[in-house]
Amino acid sequence: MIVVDPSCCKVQSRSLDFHYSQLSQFIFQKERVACYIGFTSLPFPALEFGKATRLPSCRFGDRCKFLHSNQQQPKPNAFGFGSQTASPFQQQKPNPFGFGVQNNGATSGAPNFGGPGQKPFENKWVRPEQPTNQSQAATHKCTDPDSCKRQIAEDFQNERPLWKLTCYGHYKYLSCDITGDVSYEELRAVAYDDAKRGTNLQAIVERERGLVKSKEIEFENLRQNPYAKHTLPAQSNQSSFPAVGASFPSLTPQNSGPSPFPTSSQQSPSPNLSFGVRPSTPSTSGFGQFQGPGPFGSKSVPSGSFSTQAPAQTGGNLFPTNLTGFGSSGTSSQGTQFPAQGGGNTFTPGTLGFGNIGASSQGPQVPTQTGPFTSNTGGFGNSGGMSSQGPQVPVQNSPFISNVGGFGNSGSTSAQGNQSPSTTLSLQSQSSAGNNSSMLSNGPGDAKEGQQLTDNNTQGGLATDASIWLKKEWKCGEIPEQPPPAEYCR
Amino acid sequence: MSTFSSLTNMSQNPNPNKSYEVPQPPTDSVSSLNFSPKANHLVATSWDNQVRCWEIMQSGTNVSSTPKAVISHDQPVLCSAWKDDGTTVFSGGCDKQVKMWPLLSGSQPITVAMHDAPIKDMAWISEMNLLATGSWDKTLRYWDTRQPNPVHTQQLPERCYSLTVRHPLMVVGTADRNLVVFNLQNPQTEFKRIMSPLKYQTRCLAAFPDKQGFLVGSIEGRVGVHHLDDAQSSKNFTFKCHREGNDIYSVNSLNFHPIHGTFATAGSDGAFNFWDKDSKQRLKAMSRCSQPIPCSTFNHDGSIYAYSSCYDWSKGAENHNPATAKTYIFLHLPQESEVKGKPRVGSTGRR
Repeated sequence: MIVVDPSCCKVQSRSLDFHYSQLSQFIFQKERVACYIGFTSLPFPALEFGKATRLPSCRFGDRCKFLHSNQQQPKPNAFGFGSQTASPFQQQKPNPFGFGVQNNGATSGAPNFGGPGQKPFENKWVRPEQPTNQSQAATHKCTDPDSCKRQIAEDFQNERPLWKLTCYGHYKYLSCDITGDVSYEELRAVAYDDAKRGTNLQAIVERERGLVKSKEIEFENLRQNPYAKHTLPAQSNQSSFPAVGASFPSLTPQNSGPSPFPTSSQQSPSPNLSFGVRPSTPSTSGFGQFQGPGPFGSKSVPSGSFSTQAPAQTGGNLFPTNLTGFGSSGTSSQGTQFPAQGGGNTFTPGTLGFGNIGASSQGPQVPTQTGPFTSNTGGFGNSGGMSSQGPQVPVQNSPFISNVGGFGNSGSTSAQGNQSPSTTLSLQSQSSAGNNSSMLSNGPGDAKEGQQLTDNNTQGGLATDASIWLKKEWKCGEIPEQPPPAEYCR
Repeated sequence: MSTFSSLTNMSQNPNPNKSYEVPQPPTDSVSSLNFSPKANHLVATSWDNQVRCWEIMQSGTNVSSTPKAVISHDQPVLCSAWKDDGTTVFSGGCDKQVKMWPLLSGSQPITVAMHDAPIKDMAWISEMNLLATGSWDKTLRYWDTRQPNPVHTQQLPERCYSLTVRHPLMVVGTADRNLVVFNLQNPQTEFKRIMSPLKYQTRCLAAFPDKQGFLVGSIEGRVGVHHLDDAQSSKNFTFKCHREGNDIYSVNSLNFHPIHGTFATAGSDGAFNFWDKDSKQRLKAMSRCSQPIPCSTFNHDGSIYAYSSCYDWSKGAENHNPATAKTYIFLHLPQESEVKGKPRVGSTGRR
């Protein structure tokens, strides 16, 4: 185990002008250690960094098997950039926006509710919730798989909404166990689009049924094996996508296929066709007219608050955050960053397979922990970590795509990975069959691919295993989960 | 076997609450309803690619209305917003663009915003003189209507499903339960990002009038009352609504009453209810219409509650029958008792 010498850290942090990369590296290192020794919040120099550098919370977030005594969540702006703006808010907590009526809530707040003196109104208010938010870890720790399991079973029995194409998180404020929302409007838009192009109603109905079926399978899987699913939300996500993607030919990936297809809309050819007809002429001419005095010309536009931000700059801003904060990759990485994009569809099955491996091989091993990936799976941890970082679920795909090297840093992990190709196959074909009832032929092929990918990844992981410690800085996703071998410790 | 449950529990009466029916409704389902902030002009966007405007006349308990104008998009229209001066309407949807419609001047609509995917929700932010649009392309964009490019593009973690603005508070709900809070004084930075207090897909949001928090409604027939300030987290709670036995319908619309600060929920069960979050009471439960209510809104002084009753796709294509489907827009005149909060039991007076 690596031993952190706090004095060394102090020295570093005092030199105020060190580079971002250094900082991020430093933070990663520190955080990793912190996790090993069971801290999740960073044990030290948070103060010395000041608020200017936001230290990432435990990458495993709510899934960490260790207690989060000091949740990062309450910090506004946990996502990084622009900390200078955040701090004023922190100061005026009672009224975060400094506007409006301040509720002097304590006088009449929740305490009353549900109290003995209260008459039952003719209403359906329920669950006078306990303090939530920052203390969420306190109200429900996913350290007891049984309680998670019970919760999930209960929800599925008593709280199954009529709409099936939904995500699901088994506890409030915690990230999703199942992702892949499709809203009424999205489904309807696709249906209208299909109809417009001559697809008959029956085909549309069949497609929707297929989606619902595959989603139901996903939910059933979670119910039966909540633990594995829970630790690997990525997987459920992915399994739904091929289906969505396949059967939503007209929808852009980003429309129907949730996060794991982070292909930015511009790049997929189909979407524009489908929602098409961009009357560019009227628009340009309209703008032309409007540059004149126009009815609203007199109003001043307080664009100051935006400075001169061009859209592209957003990415710029986000990126550093990724380094430190471990990637709100859900946010920033969506498009361009993904080299594998073109292969989005083909890749997905692969990741699916991967997820299944993780789930199947690991679940049994670490039945008491929420985040088995935290400690047990070296390379896997990277992905798990990425996805559980904070509340952003949609991160999943990025680690898989970009961090081939990050998989299996430790021998043990890769061994695990190798052990279970058969599992992968079976699981996978099962789910892909479920997913694409209309596209059965895809099943086997996908599965194969999944397996291949798995192998590749594993090998990649092995190769980088040692060299990772020689790197000057680590990128997102390649940070080892294991302590460095002794020879690399100075 | 039907994968979508059948339409069993719906009452057969399309208008059990005896609301006023707006004439010449859209020919397909309504996706959004919005009243002018200045006058009783009601705008409806719909799946038949149209944006329609009516003028509502109200005297006492009598209501009448006149269709005023209509414009078309090339694709279904999903959302709309009024400019604060009541002169102009914005509408956007599956054609991925927003049209600005200077309604009062009678000018032709022009395109003022573009996305890479359908635009799901939007808001006019008068304090900034900007239009904010949220899309399934996972971005939020801010538009000065005189410039062809967005003033700012904000990445979202997922596809935008709903947004609500009470300057400077903005909350954006996306797929997979993300709720992103912005302080519009610094719109480039996420103020906070949380996962929904509800367990399933987010449908709708409404910022508190006092900007201390927001409501979130989901497909699981539940509403979450969330305060932004952690110090007030003890006041957070969720409650069930729009359920019938084991059938759990979605909450499709949340509207705060502009005067009393109470709010209305409307759901796929075809019902709408009025609530007071501060006393945690349901003020009034209205009867269920025979069809879902996908959207609703109060007028500027809260004397009219407009809601649409039509198919919302909550049971998929197989339960959509274009031949028999009928779209209604109803106007309900809320009694004061329905929308005025009652004092909390056991305490003296409202705070």
